[in-house]
Amino acid sequence: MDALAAEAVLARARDGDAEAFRVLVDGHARRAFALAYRLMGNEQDADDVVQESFIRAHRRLRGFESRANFATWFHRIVVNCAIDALRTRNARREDARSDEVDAVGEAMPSDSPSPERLARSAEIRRRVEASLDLLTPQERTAFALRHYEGRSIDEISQTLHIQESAAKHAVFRAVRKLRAVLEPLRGTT
Amino acid sequence: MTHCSDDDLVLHYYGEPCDVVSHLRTCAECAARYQSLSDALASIPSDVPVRSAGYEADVWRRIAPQLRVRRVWLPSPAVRWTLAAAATVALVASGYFAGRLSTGSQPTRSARTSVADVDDQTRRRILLLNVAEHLERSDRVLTDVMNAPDMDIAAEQQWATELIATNRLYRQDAVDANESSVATVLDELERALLDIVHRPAEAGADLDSIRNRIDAAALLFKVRVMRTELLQGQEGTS
Repeated sequence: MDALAAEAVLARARDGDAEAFRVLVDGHARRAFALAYRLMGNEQDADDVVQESFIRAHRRLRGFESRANFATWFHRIVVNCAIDALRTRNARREDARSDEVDAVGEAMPSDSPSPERLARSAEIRRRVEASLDLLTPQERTAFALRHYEGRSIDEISQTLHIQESAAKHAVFRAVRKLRAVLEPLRGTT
Repeated sequence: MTHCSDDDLVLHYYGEPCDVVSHLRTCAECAARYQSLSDALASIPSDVPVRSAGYEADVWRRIAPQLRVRRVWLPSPAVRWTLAAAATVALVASGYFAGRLSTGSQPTRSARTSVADVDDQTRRRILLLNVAEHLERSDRVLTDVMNAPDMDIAAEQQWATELIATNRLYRQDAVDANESSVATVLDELERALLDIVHRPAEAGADLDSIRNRIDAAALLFKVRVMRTELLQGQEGTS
């Protein structure tokens, strides 16, 4: 879709044209899912975030300035929805958190190397997911935006509405926590 | 020699500005630490599950019903007032010509009185109908503000801005028409709308205080009750 057509679709969507909004859904759903999945770590939660993001975008479309880039604006909505979802999820898991920390630590096979590469890969994935769950929503989001999305610290600070130094330290803390889980595992191979 | 910090190595790994390159070339210890960091971060899986070909259609199917419920068409205040004025003129004119037809070519005193009555009654009915619609829209904005899952209420602020101008006109009309209970609710509503409009962006504490004030004044409840009364009143007179 060229810029002129995209602008026309946006204008129609802002006026309440459902078909025009559907064009936006068609154009942005997959990328939104990829982002949501990396922020949430599982498909079900990512799907929920995608849906809520489109609903939120639809509700706020009147406030969207046509000069701005819809993809950038929608990217922020997805990130904010994911942060809200992570907060809710973390609150639900608050009671179980200390148990999870113990479980991650206890399960580290420091003295029992995994014989299968596939199994090791699955183990890394499980560990990463478990350790990502231990990050705060801000740490997790900052890390995902930096590590998976390739966003700069400056962009992350703008997206999360925090100072650059805060964005930087959120990434540092996330990396530190992840390394604490991953490096012992790598040492077993 | 000052070695690189772990944070410097992280910045370097992600290509952020950080002056460690020359040190890494000459320091085996830091180079080994950097290699260890790189290996750990590179081992993090980055694949995303593939969605089916009909994914976009699935998303649309799930969100479409909610969009219909949430979408509110808000014509501009100018359009609403034009429509209201046009309706008033049409009703008054129909009353006037009905009077003329029933009494001959020259309107009698009673016909002129009837026109005046129709005029007042019609204006009042149109005012209260418009206020009922205005309360419905305000209800949706207030509900959105009360339930917004994040701190960004930019869209609600824009709606509230549009509603304030209309609210002032209706409140003044309600005062002029001696509709004191309507005027009171509109007065409270206006203050809440102003609170919403003047809230600075990204101020979480402010949003909580706005919500508390709306809650403490039972404003949503008052708005809904008033709207219901106005609509029931219209049904009774039609």
